[in-house]
Amino acid sequence: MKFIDLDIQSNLSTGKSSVEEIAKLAEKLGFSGIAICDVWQGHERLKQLKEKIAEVQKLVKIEIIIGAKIEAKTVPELKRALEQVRESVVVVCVAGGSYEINRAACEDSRVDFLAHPALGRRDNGLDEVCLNAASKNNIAIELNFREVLLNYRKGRAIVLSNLSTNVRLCQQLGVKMVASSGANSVLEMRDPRELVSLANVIGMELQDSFTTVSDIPNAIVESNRKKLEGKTIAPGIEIIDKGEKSV
Amino acid sequence: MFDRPQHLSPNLREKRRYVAFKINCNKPLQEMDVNNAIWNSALNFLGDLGAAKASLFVLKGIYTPENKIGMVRCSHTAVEHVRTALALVTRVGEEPVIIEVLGISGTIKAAKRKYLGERILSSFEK
Repeated sequence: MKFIDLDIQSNLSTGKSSVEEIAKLAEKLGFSGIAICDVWQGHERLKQLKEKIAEVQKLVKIEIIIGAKIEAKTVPELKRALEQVRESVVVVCVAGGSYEINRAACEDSRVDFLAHPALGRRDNGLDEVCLNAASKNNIAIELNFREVLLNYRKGRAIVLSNLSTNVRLCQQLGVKMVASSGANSVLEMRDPRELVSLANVIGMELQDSFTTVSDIPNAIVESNRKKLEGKTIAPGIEIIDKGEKSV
Repeated sequence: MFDRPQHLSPNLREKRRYVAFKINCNKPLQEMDVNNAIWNSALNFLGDLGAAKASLFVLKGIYTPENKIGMVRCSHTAVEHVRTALALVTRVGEEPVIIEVLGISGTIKAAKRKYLGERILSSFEK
């Protein structure tokens, strides 16, 4: 089974570990790919990240995917960032927390997944409107391991309660979920099987828990690659190369 | 634009129960201390995951140091767990206490009427 962690930050943005350290540990933990989702700080920083990833890619066997995390405070800021970043990276995620941003992210099909929608909140941060929009636009909701890891006692109970509410609602409304470590340093990275356990513990079936770390992240990466290569014109319409059989 | 999620439709809502309790103690106790004592007891007894699955929440603004009656919200599947966690509270701050469960209700309104002696308009008409 191919496991991918879609949400890791390197020291080129808010993280503390280098891309090389992250990639080597991810290989050891059993991932077949990782997405470095650094906080979006402009094209210059992205160019640096791409160069770094190209260097490290030669040293490891796993696939390193370029991603971007948008930390916007207002909706216009989010839209502007999405316009700039969508064509340049494979994975785009939006840092949630504010209800306004959560809803705007769920309503924009350029977003791949919404990270930690309940961050810093007492409620789960999502309602029926957001989740119906996310289902329609094929946007996944993240189960962030770091949120659980860094909280303690009452805070952790609240986080787990919010996550289990989101799992229940996503299952009822047919929204996809991705489990990721959300790591800012190598010490926060965990084995893919542990991420599966977290998803299982908070209310998902074991079979579905596996898809949150393997099938769904793989599908996101695959479809975005096709879009970036220009093979997908619109949802359901693909250009098939000469000689290939039609699907 | 709203700043918090809207109410879920009834089929998606989690079924909740409101547990009304009374603290037996001679001295006045602060709401914050009572809240902390209940959370500590629940976390020690049920653990982080158990407290999360119980969707525990101590309602604010109901408890007063004079009447010593408060309310805890929980999931309908975890009422017995929460009752036991409340029974295990032995101290609030420095004061030894006993928490007595007055009853369980499906809405705050009904719980207030039954256990806090709040009267609704129709009761005045009679």
